[in-house]
Amino acid sequence: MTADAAPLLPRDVAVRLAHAAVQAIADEAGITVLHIKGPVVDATLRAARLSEPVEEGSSAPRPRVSVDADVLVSPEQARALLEAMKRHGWQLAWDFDEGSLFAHAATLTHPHLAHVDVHRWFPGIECDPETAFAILASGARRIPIAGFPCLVPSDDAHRLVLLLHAARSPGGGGRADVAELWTRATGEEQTSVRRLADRLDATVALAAAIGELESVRHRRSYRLWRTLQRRDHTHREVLMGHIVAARPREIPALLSRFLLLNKRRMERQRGGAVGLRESLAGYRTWVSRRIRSR
Amino acid sequence: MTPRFVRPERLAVARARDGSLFVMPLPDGPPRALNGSAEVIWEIAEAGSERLVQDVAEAFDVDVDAIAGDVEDTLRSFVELGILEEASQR
Repeated sequence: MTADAAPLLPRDVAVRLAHAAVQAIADEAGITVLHIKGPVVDATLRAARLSEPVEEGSSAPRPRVSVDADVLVSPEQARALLEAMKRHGWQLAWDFDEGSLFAHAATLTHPHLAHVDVHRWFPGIECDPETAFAILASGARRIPIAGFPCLVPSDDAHRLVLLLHAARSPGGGGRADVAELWTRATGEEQTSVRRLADRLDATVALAAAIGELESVRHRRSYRLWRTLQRRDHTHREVLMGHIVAARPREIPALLSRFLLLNKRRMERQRGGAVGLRESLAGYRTWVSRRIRSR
Repeated sequence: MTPRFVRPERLAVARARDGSLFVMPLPDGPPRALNGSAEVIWEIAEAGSERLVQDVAEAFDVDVDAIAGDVEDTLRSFVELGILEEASQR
């Protein structure tokens, strides 16, 4: 009769246990986290569809496949959550400013559980991140994930978050989400999502997700979302989109993040450290090429 | 008499797509796979059975006396691992 310790977990189990572990850590530390994507979608927005009887000749909808667990936390409590997770055996793999120019998520790893992406805000939401979290958390409720009560956003908030994610993942997964969460949604559900996007100033990214991007050409962030919609976009095109979308005071931080990300990318490609001077030289080459090409 | 058991409040439980069962005391674990008879005993125990050894014996179609010692040892180890709790502890 065995209860084997630390087995190699099936991926879906590792993801659900990671959600439960983060919730337990957050509860202990008095931090509010919202669980999003992956198994939360199957347990909420897709629950009815997954439990429908399968008609003859058609295939049953499949559970979502996730490789990591995603949580959203208020920017004010984000650092405290990372510290609390580290005290419980998690390791910081990527800090907020190391993953993408949005600087929205940090990744933590665990010896047994799935990676966790801790989002301190969600790309596509342009209002103040603290206000955004408060709006997304209003109407949140607890549902069991791995049998443990985890806090999840309202269905409207979750639908919007998934659509915003789809706006920058125009491949198969993003398209499938738009079809399932927008095209098949009722008119009432769509209206609620549009209203929420207005409150969160997320109308540009939502428009990108649902094929209405040209209706927001006049917005500063239009170029960024048009770029992200293309699967073959380059990092530099994304940077230009960010610069056009940014307020002037945000640009220095954006450029320094770009340099840091470039340095990390060069290090990954070479498998070793790259000095700041070398990284700056690469950046200068790119700028002079752009100037010459005009 | 075997006491009654309950699932600890801070325990994650997940069944894989192939049906195998995993449990993990929260938040630190470690995760554990419950295999074979361990799974049956844990499930009967966490359901709050008041005649635990008899229910396990029935599940395996064996005499109570033949398995009572093993079942009790297993329950004790589950409590030590934090994956089961005596009902009176709440």
